[in-house]
Amino acid sequence: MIAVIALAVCLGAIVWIARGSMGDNLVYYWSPADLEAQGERAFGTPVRLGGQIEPGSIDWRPETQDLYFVVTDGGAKVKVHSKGTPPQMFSEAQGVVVEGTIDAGGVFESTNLMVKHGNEYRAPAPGEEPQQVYRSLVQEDGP
Amino acid sequence: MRHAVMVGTGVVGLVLLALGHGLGLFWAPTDKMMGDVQRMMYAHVPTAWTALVAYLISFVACVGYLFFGDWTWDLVAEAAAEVGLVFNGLLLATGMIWGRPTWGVYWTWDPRLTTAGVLFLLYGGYLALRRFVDDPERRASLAAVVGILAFADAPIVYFSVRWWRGLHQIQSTPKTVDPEMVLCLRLSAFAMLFLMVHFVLRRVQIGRARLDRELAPPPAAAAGWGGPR
Amino acid sequence: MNPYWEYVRAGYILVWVVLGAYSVSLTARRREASRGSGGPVPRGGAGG
Repeated sequence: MIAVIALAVCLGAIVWIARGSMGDNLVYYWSPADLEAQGERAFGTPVRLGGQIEPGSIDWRPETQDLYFVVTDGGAKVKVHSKGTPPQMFSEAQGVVVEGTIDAGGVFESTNLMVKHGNEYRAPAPGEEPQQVYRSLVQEDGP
Repeated sequence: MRHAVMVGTGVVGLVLLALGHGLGLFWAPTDKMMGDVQRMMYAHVPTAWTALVAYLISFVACVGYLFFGDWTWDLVAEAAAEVGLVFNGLLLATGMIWGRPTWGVYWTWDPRLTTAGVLFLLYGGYLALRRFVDDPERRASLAAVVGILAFADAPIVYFSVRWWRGLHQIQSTPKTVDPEMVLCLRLSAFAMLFLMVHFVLRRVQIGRARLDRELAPPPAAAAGWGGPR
Repeated sequence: MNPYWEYVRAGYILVWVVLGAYSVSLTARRREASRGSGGPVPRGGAGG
């Protein structure tokens, strides 16, 4: 009897979470569109912003360690500023999640930059070198 | 027979793990995007599968104990939970080590990471609880209920990457991973599965020896400490 | 050397060390558990 009750509770919890009643409240990051929809209310509030890096938007200034890029979800766009060398995987092909706040100028000041990776793992095509991003980044890291 | 299975699973697991990890480190192709860091996959992913299978065994044993009341169910539930916890710990640790160079952080409160961390705490709690209850029968039934409840988080861990958006990628399939890599992953996964069974069998033995002592009638001289308080 | 190999190496060493240590602890606890109850408990085959 106890087993039946415990099982029911267990299954119920899973169904409940799967149906999304809890999932709606469990937002790990906001998309640029979510952030835009918040408008001025989002200013100064610490949030996580996630999306794709807009191709061609990466602007890395090694001398000041400033990194600028645009995060997009296909529609909305948010300009992000980050300080310091990005992780190895940071490139135009990747998704990112940044932690920080958006200021009144609409620029997202990132205090923490995380690079999202897909579920694909591939050998380089014949004649192609594996990506060695870390080389350039580590050099810029300095001693 | 039982001894042969125990030795056999250990030896097979060890050989397969050496093979899977060796090939994964030195033979499998370097990943196009991630470079050599991707080789963490052969250490990290199998710990996840193995931990979940161990917890599943523990869950089934908890249900079995409540239905049939045989001590062996309780012993298996305890053993599999402990072994699952070891693999769960490795899962979190290797995940952090892999996360730093790829994501840029050791830890973040991503749904997958959070639920996997909660799973570790739940089973840590389950094992702790067992130490607080002196009466073996009370302990076994209470632990069985807690063990069943704790398992509720296991499928959530598995599906978390699909239900919520987070940093952790969704499950890879043989279609998204090159065949040489899949081979190394499979070898390592079967290796850990064998080692998990091996550890569970050894842990059951320990539990049985302890239980035998607990259930043995106390010597007359020492009757004072054996009774209920 | 590729600096990211250091992460890989640390990860693999950790897995092997932890599994090895757990195995050793099982041996030790087995010995501990069967001590005091009249030597090693011969339990092969019997029971379910």
